[in-house]
Amino acid sequence: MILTDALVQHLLERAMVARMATVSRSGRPHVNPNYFVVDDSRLWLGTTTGTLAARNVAVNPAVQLLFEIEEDPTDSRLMRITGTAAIRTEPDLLKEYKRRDVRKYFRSLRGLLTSLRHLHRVFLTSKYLSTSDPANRHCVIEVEPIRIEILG
Amino acid sequence: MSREVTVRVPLDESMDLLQRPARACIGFTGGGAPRIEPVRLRYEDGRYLIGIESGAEAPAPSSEVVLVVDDGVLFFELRAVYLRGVARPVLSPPQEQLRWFELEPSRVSSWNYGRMRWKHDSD
Repeated sequence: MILTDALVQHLLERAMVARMATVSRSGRPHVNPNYFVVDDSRLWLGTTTGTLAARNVAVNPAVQLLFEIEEDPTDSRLMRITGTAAIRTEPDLLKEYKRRDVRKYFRSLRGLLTSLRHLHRVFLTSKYLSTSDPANRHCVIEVEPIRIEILG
Repeated sequence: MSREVTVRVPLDESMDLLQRPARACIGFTGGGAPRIEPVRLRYEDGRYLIGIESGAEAPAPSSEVVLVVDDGVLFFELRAVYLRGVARPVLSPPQEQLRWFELEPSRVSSWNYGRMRWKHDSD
């Protein structure tokens, strides 16, 4: 099973959050929910280089991701992807990730309404997501799938 | 000194996530690689009981485990409880077909993007 299979694409189109497991240099586990978009045969997860997930990937590229089909509550299937990950910081790639991220999570009626409800937090959000620290830059964790399993 | 923005919330504000978990999973290390498994969570009298499908890979006894319970899909809806600790098999499984472990957390945190705010000394 590969990322471009029709079933995998179908599930990924309806999944909104990727829970990613990583392991530190000393072997300690970590899990974090992330936004994600699909880029052909790879997955892109947005974060910053200072997060534990990104720091773990930098020293150990092995990752495992779990997806639920949040956009279809009647679908109880889960999907797990085992892969290798890399930290990408090229400006063009980050720009493309951001474009797809906004399209996926904000350009829907629900996305717009949610943002409007929290309009007073827009400035806080820009502050929260800003990364003036050079050691904590925006990045994309790019995952190359090795194995894809449908669970349940 | 610049002020910080935080999404951290007290665990008390996330108790509904523990009592009625929408989505829960654990991460652990197996053979040096990360493993992630969906789990059933039962939060009973302050105890974190984790049910893993009997055919699924389980963490090694007394190994370190991370449990994440999350909810929401859009930016300001996202919230989660994160626990790190040691998982020990439970001798009297409260439910069949699942293998049960008790997580003894050494670290518990919770966050909620819908509660984003300036960080105060009390945070």
